[in-house]
Amino acid sequence: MQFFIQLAAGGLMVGAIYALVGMGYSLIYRASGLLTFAQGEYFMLGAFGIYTFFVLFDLPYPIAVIAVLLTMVGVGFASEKLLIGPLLRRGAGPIHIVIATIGLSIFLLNTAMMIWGSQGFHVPSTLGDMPVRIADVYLVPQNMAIVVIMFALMIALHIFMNKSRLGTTLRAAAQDKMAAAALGINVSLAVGLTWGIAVGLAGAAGLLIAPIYGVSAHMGLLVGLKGFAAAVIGGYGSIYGAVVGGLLVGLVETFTSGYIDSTMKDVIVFAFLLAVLFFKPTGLLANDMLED
Amino acid sequence: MKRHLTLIAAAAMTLAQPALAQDKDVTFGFFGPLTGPSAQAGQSLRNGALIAIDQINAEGGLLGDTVELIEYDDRSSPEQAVRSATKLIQVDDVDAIVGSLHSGNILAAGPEIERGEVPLVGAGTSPTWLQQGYTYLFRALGNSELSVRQLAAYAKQSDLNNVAILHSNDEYGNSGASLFENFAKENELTITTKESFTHGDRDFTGQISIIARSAPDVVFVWALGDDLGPVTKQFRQLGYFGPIVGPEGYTLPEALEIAGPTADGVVFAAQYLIPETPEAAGDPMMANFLSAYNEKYGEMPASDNAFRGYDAVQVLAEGIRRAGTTDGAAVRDAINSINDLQGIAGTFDYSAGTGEGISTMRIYAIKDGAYSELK
Repeated sequence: MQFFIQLAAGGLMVGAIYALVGMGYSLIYRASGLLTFAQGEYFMLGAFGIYTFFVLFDLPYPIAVIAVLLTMVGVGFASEKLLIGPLLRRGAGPIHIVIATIGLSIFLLNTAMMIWGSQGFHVPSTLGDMPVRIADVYLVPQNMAIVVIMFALMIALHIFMNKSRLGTTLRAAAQDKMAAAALGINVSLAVGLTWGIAVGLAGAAGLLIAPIYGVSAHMGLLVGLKGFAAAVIGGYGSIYGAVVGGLLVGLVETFTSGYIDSTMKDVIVFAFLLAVLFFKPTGLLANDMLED
Repeated sequence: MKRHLTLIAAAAMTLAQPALAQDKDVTFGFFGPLTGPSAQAGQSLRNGALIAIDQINAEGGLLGDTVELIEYDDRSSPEQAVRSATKLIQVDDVDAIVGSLHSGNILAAGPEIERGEVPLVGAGTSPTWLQQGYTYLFRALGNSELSVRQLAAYAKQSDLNNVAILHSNDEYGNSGASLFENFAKENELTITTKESFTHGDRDFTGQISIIARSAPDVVFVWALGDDLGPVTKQFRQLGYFGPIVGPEGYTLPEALEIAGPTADGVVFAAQYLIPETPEAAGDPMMANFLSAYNEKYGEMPASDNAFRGYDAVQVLAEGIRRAGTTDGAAVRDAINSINDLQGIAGTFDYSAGTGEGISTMRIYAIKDGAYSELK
């Protein structure tokens, strides 16, 4: 039983990370009907962000966190304004955007290596590295905090999108650009901001996981892929689906590693993705996905 | 007049010949990871080699010629390593090669090196690439079989009889793990469980939970340096606080930094350590090398691969000197005749003809972020 709980705790933590990254994928799809493949690298940049602000610049942790989040939202906004938007205006179709984001991810990876180097970096945890022991189960405070923060961000996003004026603006622009523009909504700002939030979520995942995984330029590759799988499993375009999908992926991964074979971990996760696509292609949660 | 011209031309050509021969440099080739996750180690390897080459050139070069280094980035990829080796041999026509530090890459380039008959001194520690029958490959330090054997003996001596294994499932990790299983048998140690992970992965909850549940006295870890920090930390975070024995990757600064206090209780085997300052080095040869390195690069080497690169060039240079030529077969035979060449790793003795030159490893312990040698 202790073994099961230990694995479940680990699975939820890693799942929360996939959920945050996956939420970004779904948000972008919701907002613009586009697929992106750069979320993994934004996750990596978030981790480097906290390393830079908290370790290199030695800012107090809360200020460093705010700085990272603002920077990542800005980076997302800039990505939309400088790359995605112009491509769309030139008549690019979704597949071109996919290729562009793949190129962007390669660019970001190598830029990170050039700026910080290709070795690993350490970010100390403000909650300490050592676990608390609860009846033979070892739980690390930072890991538990990640799960809680992920749910908090999900709820915050829900409230923002549904209850706030700005959030409703974003939803309107996502639903029908022309109608929204006709109502006086600044569609350009809305789309840019949505990308900003999506990238901000990936960046948040990165800054949360940095004390646990360490920071390195290649850390985003597999996480980006699994976050994508999480979004698809949950229902591509659904924020809550991404959460469900992320937690499922994390649990499947960790239970496979503990009960079956650690070498089969990734194989089984992606086989699970294929199985979901086969039996329920729209994903586990019902959602109103945008039609292309 | 025409007859005189022909005579003058003939005389000029014969006089020119020795001059041309003097302009031909002795060229050493290099391939190793200059970019990517192992870039620090690869650059240290190359820099160490360059220090040795500078010293050789300052003392008059090899066989009267200046030594130059042609370097390629193998990007930690076996495919790229083969391409680099092929280019060095077939296009650049090098006389000797230093590299790589990835054993998998040396193994991949092996056939090309052997076919090209160019002696290579490599910095990777996996025994595999010297067990294939290649005659042109040599090693610049002790191999991991030595490390593993000494670690297994250490476990036995310390009465740690139940061992769990965690290794990365690449060539390096797999070979270390299977070596340990053999030596565990010799030392009558029990393997409680054997788990593996993918190099670069950062979540080991499943593997470590299984290991902790198997209640070992000691855990044997074998993976590259960039994995060791997170692995060590997660052992303590998932409730295993016992001793850990592992590879020389623990000498990598990032491993110690990421693991922090969780590295207390780690014992590892390594050929050498990088001291705080050149003066702190016990061995005068290492001290001189580090001073020269500091002077040229403005900092201490980030990885002990710098020592490996330096020793590799010294071995190749000695081989060329003894052979009196850069002919591959002659140099190879000359290296096999070396039995007491002083290097930073120790005394090189290649007379067994296996390509292995060093036969002892050192054991170190980590406590409070500092290393101490266990005798």
